[in-house]
Amino acid sequence: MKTKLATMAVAAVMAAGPVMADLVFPSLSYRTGPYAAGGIPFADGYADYFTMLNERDGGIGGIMTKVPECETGYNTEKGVECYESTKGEGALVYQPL
Amino acid sequence: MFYREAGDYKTSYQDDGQTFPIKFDRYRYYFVLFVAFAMVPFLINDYWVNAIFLPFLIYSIAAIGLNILVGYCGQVSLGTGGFMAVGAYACYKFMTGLDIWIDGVQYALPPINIFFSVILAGLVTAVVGVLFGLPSLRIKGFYLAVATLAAQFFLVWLFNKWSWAYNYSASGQINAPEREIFGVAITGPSTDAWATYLFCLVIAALCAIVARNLTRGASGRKWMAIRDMDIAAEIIGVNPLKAKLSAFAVSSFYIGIAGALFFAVYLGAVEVGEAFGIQKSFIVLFMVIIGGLGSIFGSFAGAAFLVLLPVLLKLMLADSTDEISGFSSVMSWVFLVAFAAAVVMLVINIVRTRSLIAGAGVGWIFASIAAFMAYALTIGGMGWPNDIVAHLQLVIVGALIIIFLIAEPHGLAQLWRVAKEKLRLWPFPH
Repeated sequence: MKTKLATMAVAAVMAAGPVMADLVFPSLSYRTGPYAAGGIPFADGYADYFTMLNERDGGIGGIMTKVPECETGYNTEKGVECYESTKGEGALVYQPL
Repeated sequence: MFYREAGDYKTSYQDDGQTFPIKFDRYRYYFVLFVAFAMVPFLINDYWVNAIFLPFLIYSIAAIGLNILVGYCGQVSLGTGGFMAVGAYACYKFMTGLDIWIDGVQYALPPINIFFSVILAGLVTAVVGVLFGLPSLRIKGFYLAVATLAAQFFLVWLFNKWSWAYNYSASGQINAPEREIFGVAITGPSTDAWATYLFCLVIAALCAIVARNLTRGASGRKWMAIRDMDIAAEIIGVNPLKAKLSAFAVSSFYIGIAGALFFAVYLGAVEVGEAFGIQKSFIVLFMVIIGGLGSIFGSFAGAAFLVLLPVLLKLMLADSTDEISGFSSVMSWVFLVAFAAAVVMLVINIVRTRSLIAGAGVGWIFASIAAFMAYALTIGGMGWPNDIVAHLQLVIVGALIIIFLIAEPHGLAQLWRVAKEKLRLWPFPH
């Protein structure tokens, strides 16, 4: 019953979603907190690289990329919140840095 | 109006001793239980559970525990994080099979069911809590705070160094393996949202009911006597040794359960210095102070406040969305106009009374904040830069703590109590 409901929900989401979805690379950044000194340039670089791919190459394989950012402050509990709030957007990879 | 007891018509001791003597309170309590147990599990998804409900329930248990010690018995403790670590590591040992080494041979218990692991972890923490509560018989106030601070640092150091506690894993982390109750996974990577929620809810509800009745009964009155004046309490026949140590035991039991759930159900993997540092001790203490010292409801309110506020601020300020439904965009305009009107009224009030809070100033401040929050939520977040919002969060939470301590030092529970007293006479002023 539960699986059936879940399948229906997934089917509904997939039917409703656009055909050409963006490639989603969530960036769980730490621009604040104890590791901010390293986190700010890294988060900037990560976002800049995907912006460059979008503007120079028109995305990856013709599909645009999207980098939703969520601030964790290098805190596990905020990180959990960020993961749960971004995973529904079709996230492809969570880079652990 | 409806919130009133007219006369005292109780005819049995049972009626006299009930927790909620006012009918409205009692039905509200049943209603909250009904919603929490029978409706929320069908409505929640992973986000609601992992970002809001689990931290809220787990911190509530920890806050109830600390409230018993600080709010009811008056013994300051800064060791909450350390005691949560004891609960987490004890739960880990019980759920993976407690082992001992005798002459180089390992003897191990079979892994214990997760529910009983959590309860046993609470009991282990109670013993450790009593041990660190012993100095409270000789020292009070700041000195006791420092003694419990020592517990915090010692326990974190211990669980870093003592490799038996983390089953000799190379990283020093503990990871919760998958454990089930009645065939439903409660811990591990493949849990359902409703299962973990219900598991924590059942334990939190049991904890709250037991705490409420303990603090209403003889032991609670002994704790309060010690809190109000320990010498007087001793003269009227309260044994300070038993009262203080039982408060430490019960408090640590709760905090241990919270630590076990925090590790096993919520995060699933924990490293002691990062998860159970001094930060944890302070945040639980803030919850107790903001919620209200000496109130079980206050523990829940304080935990909700400190768990929900950062999430709410993030949703309002940092998030952004491209597609807004027509209804939301109409509502957002309504709220924006309301916000502008409230700000104008506030400015007029400031100019007229030459004061920020004189006249209806406080009301306009609240109105403009509420209108802005409604506006931000209906347009799906303001989309401000992440780092600015994160810093703003720290500022807002810190400012709110200061405002609370000045405006209402007895916390959210006192605001609630005042509201109830007002409701009792409403709509008549006297």
